[in-house]
Amino acid sequence: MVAESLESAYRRHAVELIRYATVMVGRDDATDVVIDAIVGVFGGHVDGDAIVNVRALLFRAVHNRAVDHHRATTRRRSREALFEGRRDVSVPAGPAVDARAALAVLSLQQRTVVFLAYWCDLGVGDIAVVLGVSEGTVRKQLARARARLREVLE
Amino acid sequence: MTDSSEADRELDAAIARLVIDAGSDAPDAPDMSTLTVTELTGSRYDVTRRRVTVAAIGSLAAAAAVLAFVAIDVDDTDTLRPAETAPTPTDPLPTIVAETSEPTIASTVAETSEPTIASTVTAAVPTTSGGAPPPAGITRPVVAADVCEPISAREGISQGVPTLFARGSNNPIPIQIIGDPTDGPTGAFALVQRFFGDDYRAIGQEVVDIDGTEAHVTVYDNGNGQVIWDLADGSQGHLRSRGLDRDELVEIVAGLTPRADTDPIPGFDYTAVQETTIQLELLHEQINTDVRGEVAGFECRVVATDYVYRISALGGDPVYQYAGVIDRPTPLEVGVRSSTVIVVNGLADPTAPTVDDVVDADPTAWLDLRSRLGRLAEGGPLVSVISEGGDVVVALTPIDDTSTVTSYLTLRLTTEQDVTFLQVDTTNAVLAPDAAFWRTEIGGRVRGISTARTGSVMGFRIGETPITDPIDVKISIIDGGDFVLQSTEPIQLSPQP
Repeated sequence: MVAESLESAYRRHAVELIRYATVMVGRDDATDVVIDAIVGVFGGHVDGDAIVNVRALLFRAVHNRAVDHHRATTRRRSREALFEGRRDVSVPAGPAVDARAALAVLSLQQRTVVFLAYWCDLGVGDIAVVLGVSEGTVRKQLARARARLREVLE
Repeated sequence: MTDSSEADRELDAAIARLVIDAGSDAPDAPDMSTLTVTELTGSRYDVTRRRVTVAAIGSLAAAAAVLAFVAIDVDDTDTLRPAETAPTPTDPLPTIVAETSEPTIASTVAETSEPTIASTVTAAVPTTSGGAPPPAGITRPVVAADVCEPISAREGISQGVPTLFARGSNNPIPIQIIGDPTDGPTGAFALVQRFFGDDYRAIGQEVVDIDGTEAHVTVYDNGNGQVIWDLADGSQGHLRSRGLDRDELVEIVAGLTPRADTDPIPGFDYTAVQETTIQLELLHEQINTDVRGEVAGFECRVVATDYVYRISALGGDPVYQYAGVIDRPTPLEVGVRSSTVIVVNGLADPTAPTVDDVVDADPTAWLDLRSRLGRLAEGGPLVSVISEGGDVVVALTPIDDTSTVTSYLTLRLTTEQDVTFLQVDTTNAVLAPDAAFWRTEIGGRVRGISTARTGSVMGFRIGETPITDPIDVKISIIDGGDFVLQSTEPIQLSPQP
């Protein structure tokens, strides 16, 4: 693994990473999530010899940042609700927002699996590699996600 | 996704439409080439992040080239360091020992310049001036929770560095530090390696002729630099730097004269060129296989900003410490505590923790932090990278609320006769009163039931070396009725070479 290949890998996957982040955390925070993830990848503790799948590394980084973001947002909203009461926040409507609202019934990992399956068109084995989990886990999460979305869509 | 039924196909199509729509308003991806340009128009928040990003991305020699070194930080975790190896606050100021042999003068050096010779030179970790004793070294770096909320910690130890900066060799590699004896790792410095018998193509942003030698020079946006040049005898010099500009790198290379390959440390003699703007010296040198170092890392989050910071305490040989400083995008701060180098990384912000905030953690609290590993996702297993000889600490927590005792297990991978074993060290475990047996599940199957006692090491055969597949592990304490009293969370160990 050389420096240039990591950089070029980011360039190659930047579009799908920002799209993935948008699905996970919404348009407003997607850029920050991707930037934080990239900073984490390039500046954090990463074993270069272990990077056999840069795409997986980048996806996992964005995924982890999205999870952190989700938790932080949840905590912040809880605090705000506690101290300020519910605020009326207008959210712009549109198909993207509606779709994210529908996908919000899924856990973050399920959302990730769905994105990789339906947007990146990855098979179970490839998703398992990207996420670093077993194929069984992917199948289970995908099945649960489809079942949950079936309920929502019906 | 291909399911046969019409209903499934419709569902798949609907889900695909959802996913397409959900990302349809995605903003443009952060682009490296435009980040710098947009700094002037972005908010302060954005500028800060973008600068760090540019620095980080631009530093891939630091992120990729030194990643093998980083692996020590992440993968080679170890148990708490014995007290006798902890640095003492009374470590004497290292001295530089001059050699009596005839110095080799670089061709570009003026005759009157004073050659800096050092084949047996020690570190340049500065002590505090004045009569006050230097602050104690740090081996378990943390900061107060109100400054930065703890997330996790890790620890690593290395004996011998086979691949400094991700470039290995079949032959020993002399490594030399050229830096400022006062500033040490907090100032500008270069690490110079010399490789023998390797076929490695020299590349760089610019080719500079230095006394007839083509030097391939690269200066990264984050302040790191690199020079690679081929020597007449077929060996190759490879310099990595922090805080040096292009001209300074060229000046340093001009001041290097290769030693005989029979020299105990067959690196370079260094004589600073007279007209240089910086006056650096050869501070230390060592063969890579002799390098020993340890690192303790702490990760925390500032509540006010949600920024995450990483603090590393680097101990051991200077080569290890200096390389650890280069191994960063752009450190917010580098400091020295006795013989420990402290590096703070993260986004620049007034709320960021500083070196002065760093204190040694209580051993129990540190163990707890080390057990908090990266969680892949909600509901997923704890995922941890583990390497041969490294270890991972996991918490063994009570199942119910009748006990608040939390104890720890240490997991290791060992190899004997080409077979890899998982060792479970119970030294730091505290057992529930009714504990009867250890139950160890590996790969979803119960692999062992053994009498519950502490202080022992249990071993489980994983398979023939090398092991590349993740290892799912769960360890429980059960009573005589097979009720679980204490358990780890499901852990997924990801073996690394």
